[in-house]
Amino acid sequence: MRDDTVLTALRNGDLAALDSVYIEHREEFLAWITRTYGCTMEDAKDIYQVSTLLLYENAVSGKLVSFSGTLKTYLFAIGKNKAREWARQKQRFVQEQLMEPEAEGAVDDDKETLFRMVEHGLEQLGDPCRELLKLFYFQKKSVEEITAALKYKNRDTTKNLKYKCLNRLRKICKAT
Amino acid sequence: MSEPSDIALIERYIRGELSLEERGAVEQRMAEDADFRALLEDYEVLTKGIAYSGRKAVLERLQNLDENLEGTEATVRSIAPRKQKPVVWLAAAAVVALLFYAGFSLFNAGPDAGELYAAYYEPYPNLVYPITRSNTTAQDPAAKPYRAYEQKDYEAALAALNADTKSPEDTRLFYKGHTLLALNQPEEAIEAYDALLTLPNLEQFSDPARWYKALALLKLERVEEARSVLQSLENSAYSKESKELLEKL
Repeated sequence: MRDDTVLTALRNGDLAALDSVYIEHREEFLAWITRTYGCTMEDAKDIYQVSTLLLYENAVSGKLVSFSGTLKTYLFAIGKNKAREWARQKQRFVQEQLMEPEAEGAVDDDKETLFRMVEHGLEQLGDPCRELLKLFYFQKKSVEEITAALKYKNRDTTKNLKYKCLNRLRKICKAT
Repeated sequence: MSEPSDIALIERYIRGELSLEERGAVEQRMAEDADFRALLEDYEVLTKGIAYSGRKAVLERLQNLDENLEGTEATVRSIAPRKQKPVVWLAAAAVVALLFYAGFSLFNAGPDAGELYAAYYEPYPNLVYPITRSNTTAQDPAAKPYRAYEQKDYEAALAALNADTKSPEDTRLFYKGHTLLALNQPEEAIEAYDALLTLPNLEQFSDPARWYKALALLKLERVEEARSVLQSLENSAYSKESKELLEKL
């Protein structure tokens, strides 16, 4: 598949496309990162997984519009940064990356507890709220895109539902 | 209940879309109105928590993909050992894995039940991690089985679940089933799911328990039994996957 076809698929949240990207570059990435940074295969996999996750997040949120080089050079550039962060964070690497992929400093433990509480709350909340909130706050889709994707009547319906869902999630989290 | 207009205001404040004047008004209100301040703090936690949860789901998918890749790699190598360059086999493994994930087969001969199990099985996430605002969960003995489960230390999780007297019976059996399945003991997993499914008022456990029971049956190649469990999931949270899987059986 061509890079821009892949990018479009990722932009649409196509996780199967992410799987193929993951498989395609896996071997070379792991060999490169273990050689360059002297980490174990397990650490290299963490770095690779976090890097492909960030590629996905940047594509799906629309932050990444096109590649200046190729998808591969982009992914490896992320990998280089993530390997440096890994060298600093070590044991906490994956957790930190899930919480604040763009943050420089360390994230505190309390936050992790709070985020897990939200994660748990989302499960209880169920769909369509869960899906709607993930589209807004993880995939960073616009009101228009979400209205179209979830086939709501209009922007106002989507916006009102978003507030309702956030309030329900807040209540659930408060109750736990 | 917070007002939508307040949430909208907070969103614009966080995104830096307010004028200097509006910003000043928000900050003034934060200083004076404790509810408003709490809403702003909660909004940040909720929205970042949602993103965290989204990331975690994708990361777990990749971890699972990676594990299945290695499984496939090992199988391919053990069927055809010697002489072939490893790189060829890794590529072959990648192709096989891609086919699994794309959900189609090159050949019309139906895929076998074990393969379908591998393609559809994903460890169920830990959702019972006791949630508190303190740091005491690490020491809380009731959290032990679920921490171990989440860390994929299934041996420890099983031992802790067997000794556990604190969790509700349905929760305990639910995760015992998942733990046994992860430990590659599908028969015992089915026993746990069956014990669970006889309990009253299951609500959120019923659909996933039946789905995982169907997968465990597939793993044992008890296809007819798996089929009937999958049929019972027609109007459930797993209706899409069940329908897909039924078509492939």
